Amino acid sequence: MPPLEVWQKVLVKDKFLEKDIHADIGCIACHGGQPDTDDKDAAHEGMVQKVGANPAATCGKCHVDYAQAAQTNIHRLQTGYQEVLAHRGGDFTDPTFVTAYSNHCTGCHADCSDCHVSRPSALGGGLLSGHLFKKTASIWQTCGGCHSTRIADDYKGGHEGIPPDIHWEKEGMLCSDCHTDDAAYHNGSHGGARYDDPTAPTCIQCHEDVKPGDGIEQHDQEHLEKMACQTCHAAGQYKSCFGCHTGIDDKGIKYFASEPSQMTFKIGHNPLKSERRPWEWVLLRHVPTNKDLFAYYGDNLLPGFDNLPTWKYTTPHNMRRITPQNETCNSCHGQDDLFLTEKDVTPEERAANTPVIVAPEDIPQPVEEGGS
Amino acid sequence: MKKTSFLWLLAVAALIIVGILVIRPPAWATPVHAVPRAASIASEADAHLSSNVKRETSSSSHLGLTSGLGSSLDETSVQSLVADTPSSDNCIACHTDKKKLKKLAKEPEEVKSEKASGEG
Repeated sequence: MPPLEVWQKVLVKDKFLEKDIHADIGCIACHGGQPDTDDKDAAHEGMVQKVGANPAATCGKCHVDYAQAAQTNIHRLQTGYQEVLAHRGGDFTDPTFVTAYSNHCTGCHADCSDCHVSRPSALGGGLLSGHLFKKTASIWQTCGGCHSTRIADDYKGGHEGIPPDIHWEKEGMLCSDCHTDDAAYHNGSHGGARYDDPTAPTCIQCHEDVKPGDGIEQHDQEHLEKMACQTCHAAGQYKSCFGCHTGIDDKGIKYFASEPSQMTFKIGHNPLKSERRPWEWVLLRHVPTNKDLFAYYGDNLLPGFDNLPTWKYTTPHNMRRITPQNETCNSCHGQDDLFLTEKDVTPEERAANTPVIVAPEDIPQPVEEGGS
Repeated sequence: MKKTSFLWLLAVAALIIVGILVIRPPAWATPVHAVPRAASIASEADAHLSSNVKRETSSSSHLGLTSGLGSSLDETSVQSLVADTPSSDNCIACHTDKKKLKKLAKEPEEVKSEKASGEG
């Protein structure tokens, strides 16, 4: 996403003033500031740039329910981060841990204005379209702005050699065409992480005709019951991130440092088995974390680090009907490199990943092509 | 004859007075920027806001959202939001002026540690 010039970030369009009901309220009602001067510094005294950060005092004056919902919203509170860190033993009643979390993990949260008025502030902000309010968030600038290298780049074919997702290439589908549940964006009723959301979309909601006997050889009972759709239909590698160290440098600036990302494609055991996700085989992606994530702040701040895998359940957004691993039976069967085995996991992370690592004897053996 | 002329003049004058009182300039003839943004549009904006709030309440019902606040809007706060807000004319004058913004807008100094690395 090309950056905006600084003046572009704050240029208000006439169309906003003429057509958007929010203009009727006047700038100062939401942003504050000083009305009786045209001097830049004096006018901006007491001004709040990021109005959506306090929904109850601004958006919530009219959009009462949405402001109420924002109090528990996953995008705003990053409940997913909190749940995962708590699972790894993070103690949110420990001031040291809370300081570390607050310093390094809260910069990506999104409030009302990050989706409906501006580019996400984590990406430098700037008005999306001259202050016009967008009811539906922009796929590339908003959703794709934050969910970029691990979703948007997959979806539009931004990784060299990997085609775009067919839902985008052929149908031009927007995020909200599948992620339809308005409540899931706003009220955070599902809490926790995104895969905890009982309203999250599933492939079968549209592809309801996929079932044994549908004419596709691999859609037999065993494959459909044991494998997540992405295992066969993800079009290729997707990005994994490794390591993450946080700290404060000599100048007092907070920072994080992660290792270079890698394109990976790994099938493993399902760490999130449930009624909604009953499969044995799923795709896994390494996430940017390690045991020493908060070592700068103290020893052993994540004492239960091994409680969760670092190779996590994932659903790449690069789906195609025909993919390298489903062209023939033996494009997958016998292809050891497609599976996450012990050699793919560093010794210090093996305990955490035991539930997802595939033993060599569990890798499907090659079959005689052309047979049933 | 004189009396008839006087009556005609009286009729024409009355028509002019009625015309001035009844006919207003069309909406399109009023420049947006010239419209005072606060108290003088309060009632109109309030009507817009009220209908907007009704739409929100309706859509919220679709979402199945429940909240103690959701069912009844604080009308007073909405009215005061519009009516008590000072004029934004100075803000608008600057933030719609591309030339002025190019001259005045400055990016806050980026504070990034030399130790930072990797993708966010």
